[in-house]
Amino acid sequence: MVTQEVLITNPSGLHARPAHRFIKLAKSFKSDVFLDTGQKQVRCDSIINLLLAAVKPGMTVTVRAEGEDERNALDELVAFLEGLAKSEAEPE
Amino acid sequence: MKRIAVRKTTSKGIVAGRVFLHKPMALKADTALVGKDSVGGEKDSFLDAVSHAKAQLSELAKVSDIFMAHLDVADDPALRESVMGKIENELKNAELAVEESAKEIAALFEETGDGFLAERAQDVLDVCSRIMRCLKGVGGSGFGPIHEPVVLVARDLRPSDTAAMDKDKVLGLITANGGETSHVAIMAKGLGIPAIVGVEGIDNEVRDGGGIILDAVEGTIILDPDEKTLEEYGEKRRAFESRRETLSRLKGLPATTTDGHTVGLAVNVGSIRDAQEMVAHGIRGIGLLRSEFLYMEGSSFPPEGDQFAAYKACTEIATDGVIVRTLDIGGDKGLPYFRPPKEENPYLGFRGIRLSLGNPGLFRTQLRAILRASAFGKIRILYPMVSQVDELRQANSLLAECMAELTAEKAPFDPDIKKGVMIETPAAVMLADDLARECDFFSIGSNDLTQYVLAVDRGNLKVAPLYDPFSPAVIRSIARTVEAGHANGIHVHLCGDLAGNDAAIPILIGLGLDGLSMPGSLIPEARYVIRNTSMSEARALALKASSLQCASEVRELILGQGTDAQGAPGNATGKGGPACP
Repeated sequence: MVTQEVLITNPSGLHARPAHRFIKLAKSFKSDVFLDTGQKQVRCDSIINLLLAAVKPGMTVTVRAEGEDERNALDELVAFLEGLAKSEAEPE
Repeated sequence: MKRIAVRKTTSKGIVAGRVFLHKPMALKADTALVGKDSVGGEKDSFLDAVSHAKAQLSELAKVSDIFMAHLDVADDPALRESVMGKIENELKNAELAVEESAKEIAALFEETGDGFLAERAQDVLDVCSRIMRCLKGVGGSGFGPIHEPVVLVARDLRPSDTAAMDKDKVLGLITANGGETSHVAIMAKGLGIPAIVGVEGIDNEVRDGGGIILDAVEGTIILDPDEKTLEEYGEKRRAFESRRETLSRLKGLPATTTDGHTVGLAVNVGSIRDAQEMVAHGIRGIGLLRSEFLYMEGSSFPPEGDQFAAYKACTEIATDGVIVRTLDIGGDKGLPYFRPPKEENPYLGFRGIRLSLGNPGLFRTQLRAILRASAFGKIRILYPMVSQVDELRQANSLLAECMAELTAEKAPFDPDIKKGVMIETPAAVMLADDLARECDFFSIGSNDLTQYVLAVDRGNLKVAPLYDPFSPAVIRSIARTVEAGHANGIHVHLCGDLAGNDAAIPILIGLGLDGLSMPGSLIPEARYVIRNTSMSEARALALKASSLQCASEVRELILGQGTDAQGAPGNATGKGGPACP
């Protein structure tokens, strides 16, 4: 099992579109992936649970992966979350 | 003929036509329980229905992103487990299990109290009713064909409805439910058609096929209008559309007067949504970041790292710069986890910079977070509610201490970060010259300044009419502040309702203000006004306004200039305000 903390900095947090992409990415790994906000821990195969975790900018969340490709999964998911701020700063 | 006044409009515009009343097809679940031996069969029919629903959604997802999210929901393990559990353990049939699960999950979203998340309840209900239709073997979305251009009225409009409707024939939209972040609100804005959402009971008021005028500018719905009213609104509509056309052509252009003087426009931001809206109006500067909003969420004061991340995120969007007003709370305005003691007179109490200086630990956390963010983008600090030079000195010396700490920690920051004073008390106006020597810019908070200069609580109905930012006392306070600032070589901005009041703008720029900060939605109009004003006329107007004795005279002066004085925020209609004898 591997874990890493990530500070959410993108202005809209893990709302609709980023949540969709996050779930899709999480499901692409063999490992089980969880996200812990300190108040709620959710399994990252459910958009309903992920949205209900209400991940907002300024929150520090812990991503946890368990399984054969856990290292890879964790790295990519953390990079995804860290990259959100950058992609949202681009003009629409 | 019947008029319905609405407080808030969603997507501006005016339209007249016939009502198309959309009534959702009510699908009731079969309520019978099933025997243990049918459990497997019910589960299979549920899974079957889900795969049908997914097939439909995949098609829809090709045209609209919203259905990508619906696909996720249809496929969601949380939904599946809930439905399966009800079939397995409670012996419910598949329809009933879906109906109950939908309601339960929707309720969880609604309970969050977060506007955005509450709206997601509609997505869950929409997906589940699609699964239900598949279970019952009924096709279609339940949305009837529209034969002629109409004003669509409905209790709710879900994504499946709007996907099925012929949008070319929808002139305008009114729904009884839904908020600013609802799917229908976003769609209406995207399509650029007038809309008002959240008009309670409207679906029971209108007559299908009846005449209707939707004025989503002022917020009026007129049922069965007569000829005269139709004509009147036809005029209004043409005027609105040509105005909008003019404004939209100015997007991205600087707010430069006809004689070449450029005024800095920025937006006031009190939420992430505000920051995002800013971009849509072609502005990249935050003139007032109300940092309180970072403190409103959560159950304790936000740690430095969280604040740092939020400020940094703002600088990434607002590339022209962010002015962070430090925590501005007091006896009237607390936080969920921090209630300042009740005070007899909170407006004259322990608030703004006074509270920050009285809680140096809290203040340092914020200053350090702002400083750290200053390494990544243009950011300035603004101290609220300053009434003494000493307060500015104390704040600056705390800031210097924080800088020394960060230097010792080898954390990067901008050593030349600009510090500003919010001018909102008469004391600050009187001391403007002295304050200007020890800070880098002024920002005039016109709402509080008006309240304190005129000694009027605008929440008190008995004296509210005396609250008038057009009062010469306020105008002269602004003039004096600008003079003191410029004499000391610093910029003076104005944030507050007055900045977004198009009737006030010529006077404000004539007084010499270097920048105006306002809600994003008021930017296009402000830009238009400035681009059609000459600085020399504005200066003459400001000079005249400063010499007048009564607010009513200032209003008369503005109206005489032929300015459209209907800017709602500052109440410049010529009606309000004390009359001059």
